[in-house]
Amino acid sequence: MENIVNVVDKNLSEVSAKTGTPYLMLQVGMITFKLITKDQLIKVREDLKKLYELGKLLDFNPKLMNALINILDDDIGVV
Amino acid sequence: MRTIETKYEFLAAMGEDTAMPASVMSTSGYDNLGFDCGCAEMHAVNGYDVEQIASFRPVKILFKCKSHYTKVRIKGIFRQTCISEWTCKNSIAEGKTKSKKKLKMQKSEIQKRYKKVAKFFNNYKIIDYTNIGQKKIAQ
Repeated sequence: MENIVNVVDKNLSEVSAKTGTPYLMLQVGMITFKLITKDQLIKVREDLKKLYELGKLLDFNPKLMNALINILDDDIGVV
Repeated sequence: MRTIETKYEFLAAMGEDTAMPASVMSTSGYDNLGFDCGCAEMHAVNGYDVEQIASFRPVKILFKCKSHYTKVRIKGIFRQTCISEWTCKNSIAEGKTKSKKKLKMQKSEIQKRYKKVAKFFNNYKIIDYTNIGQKKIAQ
């Protein structure tokens, strides 16, 4: 769970701030660059969604919850 | 002579007059007419150590030497003199190449971060907490 905040959210937020690209697009970009498979991304996102729901019930650390919200945000920045 | 320190000042200075190609004005008639350059040396308008970059009306020329860009106004009908209007370092005028370098650095940095995130996604283990068999993975 530490890695969600310290690795995924941290790195994605920095890249997102530098490039102005939404998180979701960055995650899809990893498939484009063949760093992960589409199935793996979907699987992980589904599991993180479950974790987020669990976090709401069990009152997880707000840092983790914020990181999950950012990662799971479906906004792709297109109006 | 004004010294330009930033890229924005350079852009503003370039916008003062309409720039034309260097070939519009020929300096061959000026022989060894010299101008004060930003590098603290004198150069001849037809010197081998300077390059004509752009021309401006009425008679202004932007020269480039080894280290500086200098905009020079050539004055006089029978006897010409050069008045250096402004100067800046090559690195300021060629800021574009620098930013390209920066962009390249950014790309490699982004790739690094991408790899870190991808590693997390690839090593992610989906744990079913209801399954006792997965206790070890959870630990």
